[in-house]
Amino acid sequence: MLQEFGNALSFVVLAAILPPVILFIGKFFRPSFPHEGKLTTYECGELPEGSAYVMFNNRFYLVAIVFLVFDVEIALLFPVLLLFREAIDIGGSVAFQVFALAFAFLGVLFVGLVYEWKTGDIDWVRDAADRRQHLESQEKAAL
Amino acid sequence: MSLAEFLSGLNQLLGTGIPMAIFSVLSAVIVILLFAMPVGGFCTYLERKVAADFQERIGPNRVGPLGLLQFFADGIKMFLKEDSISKNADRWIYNFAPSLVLAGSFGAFAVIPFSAYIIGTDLDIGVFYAMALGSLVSLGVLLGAWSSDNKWSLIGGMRGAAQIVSYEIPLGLAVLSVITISGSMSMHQLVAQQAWPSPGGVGHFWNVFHNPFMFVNFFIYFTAALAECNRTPFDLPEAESELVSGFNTEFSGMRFGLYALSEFADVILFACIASAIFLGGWHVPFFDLQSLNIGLSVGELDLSPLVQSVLMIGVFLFKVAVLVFVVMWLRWTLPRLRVDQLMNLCWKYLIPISFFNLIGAAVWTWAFEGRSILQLLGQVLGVY
Repeated sequence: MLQEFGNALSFVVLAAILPPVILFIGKFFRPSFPHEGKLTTYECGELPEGSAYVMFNNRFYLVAIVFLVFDVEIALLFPVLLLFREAIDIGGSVAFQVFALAFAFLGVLFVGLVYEWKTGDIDWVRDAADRRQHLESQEKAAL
Repeated sequence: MSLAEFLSGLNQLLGTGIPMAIFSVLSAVIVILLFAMPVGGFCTYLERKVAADFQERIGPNRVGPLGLLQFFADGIKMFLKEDSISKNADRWIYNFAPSLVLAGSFGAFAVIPFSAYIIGTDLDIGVFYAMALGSLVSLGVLLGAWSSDNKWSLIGGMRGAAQIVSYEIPLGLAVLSVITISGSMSMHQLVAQQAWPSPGGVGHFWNVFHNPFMFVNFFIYFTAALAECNRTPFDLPEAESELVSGFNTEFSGMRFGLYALSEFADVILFACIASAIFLGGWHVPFFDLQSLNIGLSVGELDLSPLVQSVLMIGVFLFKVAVLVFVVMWLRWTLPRLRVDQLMNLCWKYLIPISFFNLIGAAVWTWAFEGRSILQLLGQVLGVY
């Protein structure tokens, strides 16, 4: 077991050290003439305007949270559904337990997805008016 | 049997005492440096050639016969280019990002079953491992984009992260349905179960033909995998007509080369996984290659596994090549999606459909005790 994971680790480590190694070897072959103009960022030939380290309107905030829940849930379902075949071989009630466990879990999540869908949180383009309405309804709900 | 074990078996045969760890590293070197990288490089040539054919041009034809050595020339050119890093870049993260992307795409090659006897390492959580490493790529793309202090990169990186993260869910659900019907996560076992059904055997033929839900799930997997590799019609992170070059705008020379290479490595990786878990890996219809016996042997060594291996690798790589060709074909056929269309497709179509298919696949497995359509047909017709 440990042997196999060590083997897999050697793949990851080899892949990760490839870029530094290739770039280090290349250092002895490639030219290096740094120049003020070259070291600016590329903005289609214009002088760069300000920095790109800005507050970015990340529309994906809510979707990212939904993703997190979904992904954790998929990761948790892997071991459960892995045993499904075995449970079927054992007999009726065990298979039903595994099935019910997995899909009750999925069902709750799916209701969450439908809720997100209804409130428009997974829409990328949101109408300003729509958004305001949504916020107002949320405030009402909070009251 | 993993590649490292095979190599150490050779070692015992020759009677030299080299520790096993060396062979682990050696197997990684063989799979990554001798398979993934050259094939990834060759794909950059193939892509240009396919593009040229689709547009009735000639394409690269100067370097070597038919331009076959073009990717060597490109590689050498990029290797010799000046390495210019913009002065505002966050250097640590900027240098670290390509490593993450490469670790994600090349590292997962460890579990690709090339034949019944040749696999990097047969982890019992093989598919899970490949998916886990695959998500490193999105992190690398986002970090590389953010650290280069370029607005094009920032927009591209944000889009890339949003897209890859979203499409991981239908991808995960499609893989989950494969796990449900086969009850194993080891790549070798998943492929071994997809043999042509025989009396008393475990084979249930390719997973894609296991039941109607799996058939749909294959296309969901393929669509999600396209989005995961940032390929057209989902190439928004590097939409060259609007974002210059997207997340890799500030990466020049060999750094860009590594990104381009890892993109193709990603395509090959997903094609490999798709053909392993859906299209039967090294299995062909009507015949189980593993039962092939040529009856030749050298001394006490049976040569059958060797011949089987060669045939299996051929079959496996043929399937991968077909999938990679379809990916290139799509690039010159479909226009790019808009961001909101992309998100709608994922959240409002693919995820609900794959949910439904997962439940369907589970119910099918339960109702027919894991038998596939073909096995049921065989029983009805009384073949076995």
